[in-house]
Amino acid sequence: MENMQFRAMNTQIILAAEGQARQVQPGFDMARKFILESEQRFTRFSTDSELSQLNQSGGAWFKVSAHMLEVLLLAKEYVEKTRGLFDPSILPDLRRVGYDRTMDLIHSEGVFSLGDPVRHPRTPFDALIIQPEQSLVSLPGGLTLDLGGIAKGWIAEKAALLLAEYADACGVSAGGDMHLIGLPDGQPDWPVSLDDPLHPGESLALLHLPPGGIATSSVTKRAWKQGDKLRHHLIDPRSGEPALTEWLSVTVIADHTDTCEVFAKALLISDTSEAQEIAIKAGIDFLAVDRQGNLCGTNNSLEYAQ
Amino acid sequence: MKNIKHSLHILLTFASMLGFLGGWATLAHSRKPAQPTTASGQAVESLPALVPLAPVDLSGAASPDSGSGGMTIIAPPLSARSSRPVFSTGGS
Repeated sequence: MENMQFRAMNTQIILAAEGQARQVQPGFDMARKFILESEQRFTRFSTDSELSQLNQSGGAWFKVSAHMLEVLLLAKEYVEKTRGLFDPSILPDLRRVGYDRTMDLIHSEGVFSLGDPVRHPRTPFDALIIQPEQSLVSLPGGLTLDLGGIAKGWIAEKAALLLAEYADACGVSAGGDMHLIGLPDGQPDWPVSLDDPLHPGESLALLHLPPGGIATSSVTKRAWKQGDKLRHHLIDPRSGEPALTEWLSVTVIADHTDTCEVFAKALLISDTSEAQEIAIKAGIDFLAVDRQGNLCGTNNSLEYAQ
Repeated sequence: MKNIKHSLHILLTFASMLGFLGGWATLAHSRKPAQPTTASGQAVESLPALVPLAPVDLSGAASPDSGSGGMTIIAPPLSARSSRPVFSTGGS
């Protein structure tokens, strides 16, 4: 299997495809171009990205691209399905706890902001107004959005679909959010290693996955210190603080990678019983690693770990 | 002697039947186990439990359950099932 690796969206991107190098190379190039262009569109760390421009539009009607419209409509749908545990409007809280620059910069330079101890009320996500027919969006009342996670899953899947024009079997991983199409030659499934959140660099299990999506959210990877407080990037919309979780990581397996990304986040933030209810209602299979390093899972997901 | 033996058989048979009938009557009049219900009195279906899994030994050796109370996963040698994974997932 041929592969191409590069860094984008502050994470490692892996493209892999079955076939001769000269046959799949145009697919790699096309997928890479799409990923880099999408990063420019959805990043909140560049003032001239489409998302930053939208966030600065101050409630005025803003004409968005077809890709931005698609992700915003998906986000709206997922906010409802996760009962608000997935909420792109947490951006002010994310900045307050120190995530105001890229994670690469935070890891190399440390956190500048010590954070405002007073949490200011933020405008809720349901204030968002979308007119899909005209591709117009309004963010009233100072509403600002972070689309980092959902966009990453969406980009991985779209890039895989582009790559699939050049290979019967291929996969795209954006920092572990991945989309798999077809099956590797001679294999009944895709082998995917599940990282051990307690022991970086080690594998906890080998998953055997069908084509489709998979994504993992973890409180141990994008973490930093703000003063004497240990912070991570998964904000609980109910408190505005990094979520106090019973699990260290949650992995979701579903047809679409954006579904996996959104539900992995929501399930990690919620408590365990609520997570089960949400997963059952949405027909989601997930695996979770608890603070002792035990691997748990919904009944169907156990098949993938055997 | 024969009469004593016969009487003893009858006595044992009678005592066994009496014990059996007594036990039956006790169980028949005992309370049935309570079913979980909602406020409206309807029976509810309990959520499927999360099953703890034993960590999988990726070296290919059998990985016996270490008493977690969950199911045992036996990992076959990796070469027997698949090639080295290209992908890994663990959050970014």
